[in-house]
Amino acid sequence: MERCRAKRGFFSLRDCGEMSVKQCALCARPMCSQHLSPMSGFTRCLDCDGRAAEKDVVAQKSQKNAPKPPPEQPLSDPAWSHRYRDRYYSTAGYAPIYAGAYYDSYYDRYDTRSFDSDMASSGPSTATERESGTGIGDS
Amino acid sequence: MTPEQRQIAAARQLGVNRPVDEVLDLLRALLDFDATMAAKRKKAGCSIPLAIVVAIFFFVVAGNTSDTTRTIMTALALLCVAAAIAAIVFFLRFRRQDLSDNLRTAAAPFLAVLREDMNAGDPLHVDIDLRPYDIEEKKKKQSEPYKKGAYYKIIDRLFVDPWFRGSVALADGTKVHWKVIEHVVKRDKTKKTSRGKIKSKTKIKRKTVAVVTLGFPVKEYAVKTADDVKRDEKRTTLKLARKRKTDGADSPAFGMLIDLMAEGYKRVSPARSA
Repeated sequence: MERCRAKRGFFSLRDCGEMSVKQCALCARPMCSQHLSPMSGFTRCLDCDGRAAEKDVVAQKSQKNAPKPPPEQPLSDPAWSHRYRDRYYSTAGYAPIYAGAYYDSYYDRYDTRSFDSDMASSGPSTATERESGTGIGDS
Repeated sequence: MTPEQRQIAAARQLGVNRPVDEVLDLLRALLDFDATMAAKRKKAGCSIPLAIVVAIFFFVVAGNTSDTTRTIMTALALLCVAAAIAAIVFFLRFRRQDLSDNLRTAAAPFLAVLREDMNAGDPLHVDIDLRPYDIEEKKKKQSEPYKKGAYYKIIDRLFVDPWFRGSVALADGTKVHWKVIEHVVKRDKTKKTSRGKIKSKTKIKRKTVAVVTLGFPVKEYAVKTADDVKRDEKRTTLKLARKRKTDGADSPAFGMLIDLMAEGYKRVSPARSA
């Protein structure tokens, strides 16, 4: 059984680390139950769901006479924080600090600042379960 | 709603220190309550003019018909007047229970973002004042009526509303304190038009001050020396503040708090080594 590949956090990112229960239908990453979107019937991860919702909103804004998007529900919509994170990183140019040990190309679109990569490779005790053993460097 | 949630909704003040998910559950219940009350208030508000118009219609019909029909029409008109009065009473009652929009527009999204950087079960201390900014308790200054231009009576009132503050320890060891203070100047102006009508207008100017203090653990983060940086053995503390002037009804506090925290994190670099 693989570990969940989602990243928690907003100002600094860290690995989720929970055991995965399913693969996301879009990005095929293994996800734990907390990072699967209930809105999609637990088939897509919160990151993919958030990015898709954000894309829809941007597309709607560019159309004339498009219906007004529904108000955002930060506390009721589990994908909201992932969606807002994606939006904030791309619009405000914020580069989060990455403190995890799993490299995941899914997050390559974000500029991240990492701890010493030696730390990433020697990281926590679950080193044997890691994929590549390198942290994300400054990009 | 639980008795505690009802009590908070009635007092419109929240002060808790408990696990973050419990706080978010509490806020979720308050937001649902506020949405329900807003829908009821809207319904009551729309019913008032409708009941008055129908009452006038029945009175007019009653005045132009024979005895029996007149009695029925008058009774119906009186019923509509009673309905209008009831709608006014309900409208005022629902309005008194209205929670500040700051909860929906600023506090809820900010705490949802903070939750992402916290470990489940970690405590969150938060104080939120959801009463309107223009209550007597928050009034700090009121000018004497004065004249300016066409306006023969202008009164300025200054309200200071420290509505949001809290503290939390994030998963990376950083300690965060924040507070938001709104300074609102409300200007009521009255003038007489050339036709002799009296017209009044209210203008609002808002200055939002947000202050964020970030205590970064020395072992994890290196911070460049600056005037606003304090150091001790365990932490490097950064105090950041921002002011923003707006004319709108919504507080810009959410964006300001996120930007301040992001600014703090931009000034540090990861220091942890193997």
